[in-house]
Amino acid sequence: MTDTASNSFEPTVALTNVTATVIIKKPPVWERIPGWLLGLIVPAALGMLHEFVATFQLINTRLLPPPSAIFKAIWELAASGDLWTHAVATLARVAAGFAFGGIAGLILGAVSGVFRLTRQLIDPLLQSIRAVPSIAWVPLFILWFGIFETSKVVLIAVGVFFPVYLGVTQAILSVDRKTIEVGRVFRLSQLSLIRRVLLPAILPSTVTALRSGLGLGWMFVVAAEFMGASEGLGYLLIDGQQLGRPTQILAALVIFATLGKATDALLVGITRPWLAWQDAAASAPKEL
Amino acid sequence: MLQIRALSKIYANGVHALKGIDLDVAPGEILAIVGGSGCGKSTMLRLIAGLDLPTSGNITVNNERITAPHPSIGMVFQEPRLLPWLTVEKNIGFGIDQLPKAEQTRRIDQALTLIGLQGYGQRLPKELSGGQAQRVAIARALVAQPTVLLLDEPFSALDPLTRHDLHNQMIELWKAYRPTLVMVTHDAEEAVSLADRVIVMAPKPGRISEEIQLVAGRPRNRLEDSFAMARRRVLTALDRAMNPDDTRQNDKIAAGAGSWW
Repeated sequence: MTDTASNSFEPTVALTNVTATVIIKKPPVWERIPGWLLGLIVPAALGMLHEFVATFQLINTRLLPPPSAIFKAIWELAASGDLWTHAVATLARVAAGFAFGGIAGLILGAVSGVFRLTRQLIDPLLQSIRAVPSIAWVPLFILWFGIFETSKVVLIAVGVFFPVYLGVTQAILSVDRKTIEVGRVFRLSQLSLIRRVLLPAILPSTVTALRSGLGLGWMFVVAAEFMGASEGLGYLLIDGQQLGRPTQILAALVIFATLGKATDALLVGITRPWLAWQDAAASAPKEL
Repeated sequence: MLQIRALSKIYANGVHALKGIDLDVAPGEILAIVGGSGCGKSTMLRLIAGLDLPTSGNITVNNERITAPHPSIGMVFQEPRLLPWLTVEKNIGFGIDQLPKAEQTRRIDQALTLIGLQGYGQRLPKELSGGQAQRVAIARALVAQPTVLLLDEPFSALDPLTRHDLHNQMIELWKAYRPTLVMVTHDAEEAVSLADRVIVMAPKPGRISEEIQLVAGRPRNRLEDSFAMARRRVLTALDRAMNPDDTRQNDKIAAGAGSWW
C-alpha cells in the first residue's frame, strides 16, 4: 500500500509546492467568445468575399447584388416607412395564424394524447389532412374566405396547427409511466397529477413543437402573401420579381431571416426559465 | 402489522405471478424478499403498494384492507424516479404538500440531514450522483412517515461501494423512523446485511419456498464467519427454489461445500 503510494505520480513530499502552483488551464480562445459572435463569423466572411468580388465586377451585380446594395435597399425601405408597413403586415399575419393554429394544436393535441377514444376518432382524420400539401388549400381558402386577411391567417394557422398537434400528442403519449406511478403512490388527484407531473413533463416537447409550428408559420405566410397581397414581405418578393429588382427580393429575404430568427429566439427566451431543469447536453450550463 | 392472506395474482395474459401467499410482517421488522427473476417478488410489492389489484386474497395494514395506494404505505423504486424539474427539497416534499408549510420544512430538513445531503436542497436531480438520487428517493418516501416502506431492488443499480454505504444509511434511517421495511432484492448479501428475516421465493407460480430467520444484531460485519454462513444459507435456499427438479443438487452441495466460493 505504502509502496504503491510512493511510486505514484504525486510524491507526498512535494505536496505543499504542488498546491501553491496549481495551473488553471485557460480555455481556448473560441470558448471565451460569446456564441452569437461566433455565429456571425462565417456570414460576415462570406459577405466580405461577396462585396470584394462585386467591387471588382467579377460577378453580375445586377442579379447578385452585394451586401452593401442589399443593406442600402433595406435602409431606404426603412427610411420611407415601407419596411415598417410590410414587416408589420407580415408579423401580424404570422402572429394571428400562430395564435389560432397554436391554440387549436395545443387543445386537440392534449385531447388526443390524454384520451384514447378521441385519439382513435380524430387522429387518422387529422393525419390524412396533414398529408395535403399546404399550397393545395389556397384555391379553396380563397373561395371560402375571400382574398383578404381571413384566408391568409387560416392558411398560416393550418401550417402551425399540425406540428403543434403532433408534438403535444407525442409528448403526452411518451410521458414516463414510472413518473406517473410516483404520483399514484402519493395519491395525487387526477387534477394534481396533470398539474404537478404531466404538464411539467411535456413542457420541453411542447416548446419544441411550438417552435416548429412557428417556423412553418413563417413558411406559410409567404405562400399566403403570394396569393395576392398589397403589403407584406411576401408582396415585396413578388413586387421585386415583377419589377426586376433582385436587390428588393434579397432585402426581403434578409428581413425574413432576421424576423424568423428573432421570433424563434423570443419563444426560446420566454420559455427558458421553465426548462432549466432539463438534463440535456445542449442545455448544460457553459461553466460546467 | 402487515398481513397477507392467500394472495394470488394472475395477469391478463394468463401468467400465474403469485399463488397462495401468506405472510405476516411485524411492526418495525426488516423483511427481505429474495428470488430469481419471474418469481413474482416485484408483483407482490406492487400489490402491497396498492398499485395493482390481486386476483384473490387480501392485504391488510393495521387491519385496514389495501386496494389502492395508502398513506401508511411508502414505496421506493429500483430507479430514483425523482421529478427532474423539482429541486431536491421539493422532490423530498413531493408527497407531503398537504401538511402545513413549517412542518414540511422541518421534515425535509431533518431528512436531508439524515441522508447526509445538507446543503443540497436547492440542487436539481441532474446534479446528483446515482447514490445521492436514490437517497433523495428514500427520503421522499420516509418524510410521509409510512408504517410500511416497500423497497423494490432499491440499490441494484448502484456500484458495490455506494451500495454498501447506502445499506448502512438505510439502517440509520430505519432507526430514525422505525417503519416496517419490506425489501425485494436478488442480492443474498444485501438481504443478510439488512434483514431480520429473509423470504425466499420460487417461480412458476410465484410462491414462498423458504423462510430464514437472521438473529444477528446490528451493525453486521460482512467479514464475519456467521455472515458468510447466513449468506450461504440464503444462496442455497435460492438455488433450491430455482432448481427444485435437480436431484443431484443436495449431493453437489454436500460434496462441494468447500468450493462454493
